[in-house]
Amino acid sequence: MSEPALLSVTNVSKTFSGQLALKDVHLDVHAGEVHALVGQNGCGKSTLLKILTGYHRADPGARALVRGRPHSLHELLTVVPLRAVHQDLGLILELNAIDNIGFGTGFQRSRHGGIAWRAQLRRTVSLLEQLGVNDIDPRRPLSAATQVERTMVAIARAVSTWDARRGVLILDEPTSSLPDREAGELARLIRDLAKTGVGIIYVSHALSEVTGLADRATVLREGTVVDTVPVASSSEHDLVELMLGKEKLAHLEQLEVQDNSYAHRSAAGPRSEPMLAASNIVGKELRGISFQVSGGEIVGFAGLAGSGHLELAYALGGARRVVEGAITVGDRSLDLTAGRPITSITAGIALVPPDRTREGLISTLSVAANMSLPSIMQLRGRLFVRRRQERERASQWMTDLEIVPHKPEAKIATLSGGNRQKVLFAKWVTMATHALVLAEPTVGVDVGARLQIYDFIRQYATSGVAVVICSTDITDLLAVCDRVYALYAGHVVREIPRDELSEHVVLAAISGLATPATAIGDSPSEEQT
Amino acid sequence: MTSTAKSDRPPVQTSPPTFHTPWRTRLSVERIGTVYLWVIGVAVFSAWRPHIFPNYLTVVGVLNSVSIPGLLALAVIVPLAAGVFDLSVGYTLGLANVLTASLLADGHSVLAAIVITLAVSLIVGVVNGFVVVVMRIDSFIGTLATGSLILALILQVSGNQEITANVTKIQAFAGRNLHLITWLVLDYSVTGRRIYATGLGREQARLAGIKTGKLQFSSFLVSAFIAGCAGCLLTGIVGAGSPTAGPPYLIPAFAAAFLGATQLKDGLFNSIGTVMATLLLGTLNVGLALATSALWAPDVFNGIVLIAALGLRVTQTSAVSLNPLARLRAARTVLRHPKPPERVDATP
Repeated sequence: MSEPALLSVTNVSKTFSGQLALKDVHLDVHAGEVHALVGQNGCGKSTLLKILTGYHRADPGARALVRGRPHSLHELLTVVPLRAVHQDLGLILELNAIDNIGFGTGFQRSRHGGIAWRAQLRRTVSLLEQLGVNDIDPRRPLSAATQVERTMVAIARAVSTWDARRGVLILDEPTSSLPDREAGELARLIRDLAKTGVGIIYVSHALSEVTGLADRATVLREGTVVDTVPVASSSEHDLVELMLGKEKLAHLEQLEVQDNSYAHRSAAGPRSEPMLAASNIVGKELRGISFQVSGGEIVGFAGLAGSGHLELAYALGGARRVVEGAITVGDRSLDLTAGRPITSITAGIALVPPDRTREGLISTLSVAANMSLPSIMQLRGRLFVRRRQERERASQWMTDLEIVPHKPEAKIATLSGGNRQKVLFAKWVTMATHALVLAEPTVGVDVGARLQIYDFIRQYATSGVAVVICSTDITDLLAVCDRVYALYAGHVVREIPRDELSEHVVLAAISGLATPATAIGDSPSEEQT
Repeated sequence: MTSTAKSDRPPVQTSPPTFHTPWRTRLSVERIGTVYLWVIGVAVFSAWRPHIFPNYLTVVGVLNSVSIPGLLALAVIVPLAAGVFDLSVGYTLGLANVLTASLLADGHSVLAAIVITLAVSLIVGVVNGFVVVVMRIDSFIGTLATGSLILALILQVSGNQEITANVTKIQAFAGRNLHLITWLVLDYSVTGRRIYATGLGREQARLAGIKTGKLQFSSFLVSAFIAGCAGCLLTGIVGAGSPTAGPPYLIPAFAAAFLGATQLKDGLFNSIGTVMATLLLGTLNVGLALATSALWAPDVFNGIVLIAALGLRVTQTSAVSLNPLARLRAARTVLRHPKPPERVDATP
């Protein structure tokens, strides 16, 4: 390019207590460009953003050029100027647009020291109009505004301190909680903003958006830049390939070597009648999901944040209200409209929730007490809890699952992530007489414990229980699942049988990319009616 | 569940676990510090006032002085264990006090007076439960507000005057038994487990199928009932009902409850720890009164104990120990076994 980049950083590395999170990353953004930053979970995207915004300091050696001139990396906020809008927007929803923008830029004062509300209102309106937003009432609380309007208020606040000089705007997953049509509307507004000379760094999981919106894309993998490619001339297929990497695929193939197919596992012959079936479940983030799982089968639900795969797990566990839809367990139908976990538990469905700390285990209680929490009635004597039996049962689980240290009376707070996850399994497995629903079963778990957990899930499925795994981590699904349903925006977009299962296929499906197997329109915005 | 028969991993060598807590841990200062403090306190007061402190009368005095605070502390630990505050117990105590006195003064039998009073206390519990559980108002503020309502009722019943009751004698009918029952329920029963789980992790407990709202509602009933019992007992001891008698018991009750929570079950509100704490506070209060005659001493003492107990509890329940000794130990372990710095080779 003839003109120097608006912002260009090179040699950015970051080490966290001996762990290299970023290595020699480079990124350049031109004025008027939408530059996508893509990569899988844990690839270093957020670390890079935190360095750019000054939250972390990069390791020595990093350099930054602003409009061709060298600057220190932690001056970017003022020199570029650089602003970020984070996923949760950081707005106070009880207050209106004037106040929310005012907190970012300061309020204009009247002669007597009060706030000049009229001037403040005019300024808010003009700021929003510059962004192409005309139909928002700045005096109404933002809780009444749509998500797109809120996002635009957040953007307006971010850029409100820029006078004539335009800088770089970072948008971190701006569409993760948006329905498709609104995402399209936001994309149009973002394009318009870029045309005014702003450089936009656009971080997203959803590849379909990136291909529709961005000019160039930088792909990160395991802390390094794999490549920066122009989006127009590279296919979605290329981007997926760049995101995945070869070593990981090799690792996955190694996992798949173990024969764990459904037919192999249930030597007695597959049971044909479904153990757990649902038709047209509607609820929070769920827009009509139907599926069937046989006894002994392991079925996965893949999806990105906000696609509904976690909400599905909560719904099955009775933790969230289901608005509509029929669910059957064995031959009984189940009413989950009340959103009471006890309904699912008595029906024999156990939910292993995704958040170990806040939903799964009570860290100040002992391992034994945590394990027996849902199943405590099994341990009741005439009056009191049979503690000896409780400890022995816990001890048996700890041996089976290789939980260390082998102390049933140890508090959960003293255990590592992998061991906590195993305790969580033991806690729920006793209750899963019909179905076991696992949500994000390997978050924050190291590789060794991960393999043990996979092994355990396979073993467990042989007992004839339907196993459902809802995970953002595709590795989990590839390792153990017989079938995977891909979710996107609350719909099942594709059902992938074992022999077609690959990270490539799953990633494409959950990113909302059109696949020949399903009759879905090219752009996600056309999918909705 | 079959064990990992298919896997080719070698079986893990696990020593048979021992389920016994060693005596050194059982008798540690962290577990039963109040006992040591009590011994020190008794020794100090005995040396300071050798003629009036160490005798039988003091023992009787202490036991008398702790009966009401002890019961009220019991009343607050049940809701606290379930994760809610009941700040209205002091007023409930006062209401029960004036109500029994006025019923007795009107010529009702002792049994009738007690039954009616306990029924009214239970209604107070229902109102608290409704405000906090059904209306979802924060328990701290909610029970403060219901306390104000109860105060109005106290004034209405008593006419803001002390009521002398011709008490035949209300036995300390329930004190010990209530402690015993609470201890057994909280420590050993299924319900106790569920109460603690609700208090320590409400969402975890809910997902485990526990009816957390019902338990919290019931805990308000229990606390109001026990506070009602304490009120009846107070009428029996004093022989009168006073509109100002109840509320001052609130702070000592919370001091004993939080200090008790630091005992025995590190951080969990428990009955026996509360009894130990109540005895310690009672002994030291009586000792202070005998030794100094300063009117402000008990209040200062109770306030300081409450803050100290809360501070201790924070260190016990937080994941990172703030105990300087424990930190030193941890630091030593790290220094002896330094972890090699791990490097991730991130080159593609």
